[in-house]
Amino acid sequence: MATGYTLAEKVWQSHVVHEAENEPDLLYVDLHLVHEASSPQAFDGLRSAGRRVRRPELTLAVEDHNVPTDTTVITDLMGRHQVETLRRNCAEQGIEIFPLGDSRQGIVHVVGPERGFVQPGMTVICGDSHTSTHGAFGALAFGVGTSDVEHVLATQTLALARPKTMAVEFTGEPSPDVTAKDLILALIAHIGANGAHGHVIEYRGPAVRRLSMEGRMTMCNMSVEAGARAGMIAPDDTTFAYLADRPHSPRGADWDTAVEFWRSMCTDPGAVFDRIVTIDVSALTPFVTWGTNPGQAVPLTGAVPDPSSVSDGAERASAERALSYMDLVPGTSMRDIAVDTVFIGSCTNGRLEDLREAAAVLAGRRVAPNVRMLVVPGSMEVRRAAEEQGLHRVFLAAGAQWRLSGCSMCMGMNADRLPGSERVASTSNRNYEGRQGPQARTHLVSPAVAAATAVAGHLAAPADLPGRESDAADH
Amino acid sequence: MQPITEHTGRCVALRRSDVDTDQIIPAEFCKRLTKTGYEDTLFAGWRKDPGFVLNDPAHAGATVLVAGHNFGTGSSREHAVWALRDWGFRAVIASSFGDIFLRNAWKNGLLAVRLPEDVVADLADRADAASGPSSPSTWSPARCVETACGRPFRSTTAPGGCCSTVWTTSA
Repeated sequence: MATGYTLAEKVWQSHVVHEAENEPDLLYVDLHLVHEASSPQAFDGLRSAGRRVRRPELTLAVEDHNVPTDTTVITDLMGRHQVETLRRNCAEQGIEIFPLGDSRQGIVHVVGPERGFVQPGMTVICGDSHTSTHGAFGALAFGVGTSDVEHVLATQTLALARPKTMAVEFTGEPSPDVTAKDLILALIAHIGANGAHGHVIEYRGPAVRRLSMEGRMTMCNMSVEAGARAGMIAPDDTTFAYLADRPHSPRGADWDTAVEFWRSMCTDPGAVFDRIVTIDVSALTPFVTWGTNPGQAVPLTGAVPDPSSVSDGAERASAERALSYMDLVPGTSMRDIAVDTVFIGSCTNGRLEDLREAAAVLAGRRVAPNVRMLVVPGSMEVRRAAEEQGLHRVFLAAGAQWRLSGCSMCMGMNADRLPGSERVASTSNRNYEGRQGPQARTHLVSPAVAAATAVAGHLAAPADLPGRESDAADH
Repeated sequence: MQPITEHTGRCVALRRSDVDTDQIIPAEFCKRLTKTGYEDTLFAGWRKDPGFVLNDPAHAGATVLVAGHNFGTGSSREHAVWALRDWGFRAVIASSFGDIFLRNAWKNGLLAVRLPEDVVADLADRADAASGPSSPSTWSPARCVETACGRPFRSTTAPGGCCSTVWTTSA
């Protein structure tokens, strides 16, 4: 019997504005993030019903899905029309917007946290599945469709069925070359692409506590790739240090009050989860995907699996189809898979720490001939900070492209798409068929593996690379 | 929204699991500003293959899609539901669904029906058999279903009446 509450239950319960038997709870929404791709029909619906946005000051809009990353001019007519529609809707409804060309523009799930909009204990909604990112702050954050976006615009609430709770306990000490991306890819491979269906995951354990906020956001971001309704991590000093002095963080006495409240946003010792998954990460090594859903992943040291060894019929058929699409032969060493393109960016791995990790690998090295490498900062603020640290010089010297911010090659909606059946090592979140171009073949990797892959020309970890030019010059 | 309380229609089997919303409607079609007119976008990538099941004239007019587990996983794009609806589907049957897809389906009157894996497989077999040119078979497995009503239920009557009351299919 539970003698306390989980973090998810606490945040949920404190936001219920209406509950009744056999009905979903009506939850108050503290922050509504809006982008151009999932909102136009919602604003239309609002207009045709004669409604206004109920709390424009709790709503923030950015332009990210459609924007180009090599210019601030959108040449694609439909993309431009969608962006212009968002601008008009925001002007009409009094919603703050960070448009293309603005120094605060970027991917919605990077911008929200970096400006301090997202805080522990909040409910966050966005018409985008990767809204789960914001759970890294101990917020309860759900991705929704356009009808729900309209509902939140109109009422600042959302009717939701109470989710089940799931604890993911990471035990053991991961080796230094294992990143948050590897932890989450290993988890999804373990429980499957629908393994957390209907649940809010809370990530726990010392390996999670040691992660930076960037790493925690990477982990929560991909909760949805495990089928979870949300992912969360209880806030701690790492969270508070990140939030301190952000433009929208509380200040002065308000800050002290906030931190005191934030500290209560954790799972009580006597709380009971509906499900507990434990993963020992002490033997974990960098993970990469081989297939066409994020659960189809193996250690980089491993090989392309043989579908005939899969007992479940549907999983076997799925693996066979994935290998056909990916043009891979069972038994091939993952390290022998050559790539055409390397993409570093996205709401999963487009933050400053991700770029630092990639730059640390690339420094003094060159991108392999015949490999194209794109580095796309998650926001213009990330880009500015990276340039302040000189990271852009490392990327450019290595032969990579240093881009403006946007969703870019994560999702095939803008000009950054792969031609033909190119193969890409990507720090993004989805390796679906056609995701990064109509026939593109995606391997999901961490920023460090992406950078090493760019240098090697095939899937590789930093440890696989020979010494640097600068190292050789020293001897 | 066209409410769905009872539906009789032909099934077509999409024998794939983890069908993500990027397959149901590729992102390039999500630049449109409307909620309707997506019939041309459904499975746009897969429909380029002449052998794809929805290109088979024997399945023209099918209104119930029978698919593998975790249907509609991935992106929150409601366009996936709009595309299925505009193509003519009134229901999708699978053993599990992506959560956001379920909510989107519910909001648009597309019935998302959860049935056990073996029942779904049986329905898929029947759908394939019924589509043969010389086998206009009749079958009507009236099923008690679990639908996407914001909360699952196992009853022929929806508490609150938000979705189906009776579910029947026949070829």
